[in-house]
Amino acid sequence: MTEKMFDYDNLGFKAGLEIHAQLSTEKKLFCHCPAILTNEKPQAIVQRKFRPVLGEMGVYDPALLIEFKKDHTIFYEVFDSVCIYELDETPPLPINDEALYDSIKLAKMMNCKIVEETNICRKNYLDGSVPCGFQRTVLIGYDGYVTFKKDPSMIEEKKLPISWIYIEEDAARRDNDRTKGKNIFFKLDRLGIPLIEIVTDHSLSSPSEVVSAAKTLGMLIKSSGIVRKGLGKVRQDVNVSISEGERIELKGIQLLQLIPIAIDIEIQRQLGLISIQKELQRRNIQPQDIPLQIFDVTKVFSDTSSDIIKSAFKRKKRVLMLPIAGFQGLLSRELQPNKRFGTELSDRVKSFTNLKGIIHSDEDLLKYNFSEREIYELSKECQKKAFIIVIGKKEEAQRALSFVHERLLAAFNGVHQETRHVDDNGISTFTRDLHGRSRLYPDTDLPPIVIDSNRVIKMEKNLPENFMARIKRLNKQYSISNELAESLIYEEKADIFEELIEKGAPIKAVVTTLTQTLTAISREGVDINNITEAHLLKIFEALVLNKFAKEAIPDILTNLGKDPTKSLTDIVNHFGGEMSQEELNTIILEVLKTSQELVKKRGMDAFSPLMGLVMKKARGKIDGKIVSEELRKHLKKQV
Amino acid sequence: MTEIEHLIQNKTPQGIVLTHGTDTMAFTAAALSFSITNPPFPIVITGSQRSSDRPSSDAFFNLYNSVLYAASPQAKKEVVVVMHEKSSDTSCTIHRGTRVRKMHSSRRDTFKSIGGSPLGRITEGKIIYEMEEENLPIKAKLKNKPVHITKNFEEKVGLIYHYPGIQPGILDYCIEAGFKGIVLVGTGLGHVSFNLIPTIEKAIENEMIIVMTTQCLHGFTALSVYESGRRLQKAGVIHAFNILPEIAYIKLAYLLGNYREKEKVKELMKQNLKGEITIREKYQEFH
Ligand SMILES: [Zn+2]
Repeated sequence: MTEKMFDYDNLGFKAGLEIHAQLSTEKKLFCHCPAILTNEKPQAIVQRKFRPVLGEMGVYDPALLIEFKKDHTIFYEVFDSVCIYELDETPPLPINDEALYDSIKLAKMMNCKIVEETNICRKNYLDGSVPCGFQRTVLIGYDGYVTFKKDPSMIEEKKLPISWIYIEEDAARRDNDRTKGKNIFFKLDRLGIPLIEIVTDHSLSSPSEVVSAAKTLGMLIKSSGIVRKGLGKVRQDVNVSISEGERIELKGIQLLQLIPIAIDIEIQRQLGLISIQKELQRRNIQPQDIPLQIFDVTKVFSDTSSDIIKSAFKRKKRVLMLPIAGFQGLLSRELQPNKRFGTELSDRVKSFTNLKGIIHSDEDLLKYNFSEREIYELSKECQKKAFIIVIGKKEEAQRALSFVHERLLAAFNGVHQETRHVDDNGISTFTRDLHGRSRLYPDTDLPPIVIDSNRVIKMEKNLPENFMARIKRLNKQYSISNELAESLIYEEKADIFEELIEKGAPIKAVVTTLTQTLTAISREGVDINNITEAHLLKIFEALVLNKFAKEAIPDILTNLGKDPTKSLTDIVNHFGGEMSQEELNTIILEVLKTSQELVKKRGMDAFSPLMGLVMKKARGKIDGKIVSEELRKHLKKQV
Repeated sequence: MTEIEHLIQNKTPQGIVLTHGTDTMAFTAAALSFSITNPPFPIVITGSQRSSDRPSSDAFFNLYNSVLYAASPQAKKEVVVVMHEKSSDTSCTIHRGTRVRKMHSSRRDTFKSIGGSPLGRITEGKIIYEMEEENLPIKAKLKNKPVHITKNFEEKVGLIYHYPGIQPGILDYCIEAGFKGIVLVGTGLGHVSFNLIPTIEKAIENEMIIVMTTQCLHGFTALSVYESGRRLQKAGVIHAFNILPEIAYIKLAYLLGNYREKEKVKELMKQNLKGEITIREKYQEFH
């Protein structure tokens, strides 16, 4: 585990998890389309505009209005694998029975209570990723728990309460290659694939607990046999808070190892925001000291040499300024590695408008090629206060500054509740405000679902092997460590592991291949996705038949990964073909001949380097043990 | 029918072609589809829109292609309608017997498969299948079972087209006359005026089975979406996805003629027995 960065108890650290996993059903949740992703070219493109709708209270949902003002046009790519349901052209068909009862099975594995009758609900989706504007989601279970080890290296266990389990439709996937400016493209293939959502409570009290709980949930889900395999198919979001801060939802963390890093960075960010709050108090600045007073400072740049401003002027854009008293030096406070408070404001503008961001007074304005005179004029314009500048069409720039203003006011309260997306380095970016849990409202297109309690009882008696039991069994049956058993299960390799051993493959070679070789060749740039379980079965079958020596496995896998169209038999033959004793002797004699000097100088000590030379030529075609015996014999003769 | 039964029992032909007037051809196609389960050979129905006493008649081309199909080892063993695809004498369409409808009073290409691709087409003597995989199998579990024929159809079944201003008395008549089932052809997703609903409730209380279909022909009925539909559903009206009104009428008459239990009839009405329900409605298949 990583070194402890903070005193988590003292900070009042709390965290919870939200896990999403795609179910491996054949069909989608509310139509009969196959639940598959495709690389096909779209057969048609459908264009749509989204409009805000009045909510239950008779007012527009503010988030919908923000989305509407971006003026996006949404394009949907239609494939052979989708029907008109995905296009929001027909009501849903009755829920996929397999998906429904598979998720109940998982809920049972997490000791949940199962709902007797459940309503299909709608959850608004504003970005166009669900064509009808809402995702259909169904509550399945509640009040469950899983037991996990507080720390992977400790025996002490803890119960993590499971608050809710839902089954819902996956959203469409954004096509970033086609998306440009205000035209947003989505592929419809993923839309409607059944997705299970597991929400835990908020009681995890350290990053290592979060990792351990996430790993446990991951193992449990993956060993249930109902979810799709593969990296990224199980996605985990982490909710993090500290006493003085707020609950922040961190999304998009793919790897377990990234969890503690992302958490520590988030704590650091929250502490930074709290220190800004305290500094404002110290400076005696109040919210009313920063009114939303926007100045048009376009004329300051009338003969500017700044390229960004010049090109903006060509598109009739203006420069607007918001003076902000008392924020001097705070905008450049670093909250995350290389991300300042100013970056947070900028991210918000990027998220809520089509503008590229902001410029602020804590920045080195010379880097934008502003002249000394322009900088002087700006500071005169706002009476030497700190300021934010936005470049854009008047109305949009004004909106951008009002979002900035809103966020600045929130700074007086420290941390602002939001959802953030985490990158591969653990650094997060604002995605949207968090107003509690997204509001669910009933879907009237389908009647409530009555759960068949007899079927649930039957299923309960027939749950898949508990992963804890499996770890113990793997440990006993194959004499492998618990840690190894755990990682085989978490990485979804336990099934193929057992299958290979059953076929007679040597445990050691299988373990090395699954846990080291594949990762190692992947690091060298080989696409290991090309290597299927069927390939592994064939390779080890050949190994059992002594078609080649185990030393050749990395080479065989590398070749296969580089070009999956090659015949596996050819590859195996190339590296195999069993070298005869005679051939080996010829190689040994050749090597000894070219290494006369070495043999003379070091005698029997020359064995290791010579062994290396012989193995280079004989690798994979004959057992290393035989090579070593023969080489020793020949060498003895010569010294 | 007796003749077809005789041919089936003796298993002599490789396929049969039935010539038929076009006005009720779709009804016959559906009736044969439901009454013959697992036919041992293809049953092709064909006809003409231009009478055969004129040189331009489409009768020959349709008959030629029907025979060609019926005799082909490639042909599917189910009831189909083979008729002109276009106005030209260049190709015929093969329609599944439970999805076909006459759509023009006079044109040669009057028959269309509604709600999806037709089974296929015949052009220059070649059979090309077009229906998507998932719509193809007619109840896979029926495969390998022996042929089964039933000629029972309930006569007291009605088909009522709904219109604004419809009088509930129409239904009252059916109740008094002892009708066993009614297929309603509703508007949109399967709606009727509210003033009809009490009579529908009464009919169902009188053991009548009421099935909802749509006048739109294309698309599914969905009774949960709007208030009128929800009240119908609550009253016990059955909706059978996107089955065509006339096909629903034939299916209901077939089911009532062969199953005593009302619940069984209702359940089978919702099941896709002979390809009468489209599994997946594709984007490009509505013109
Ligand atoms: Zn679909």
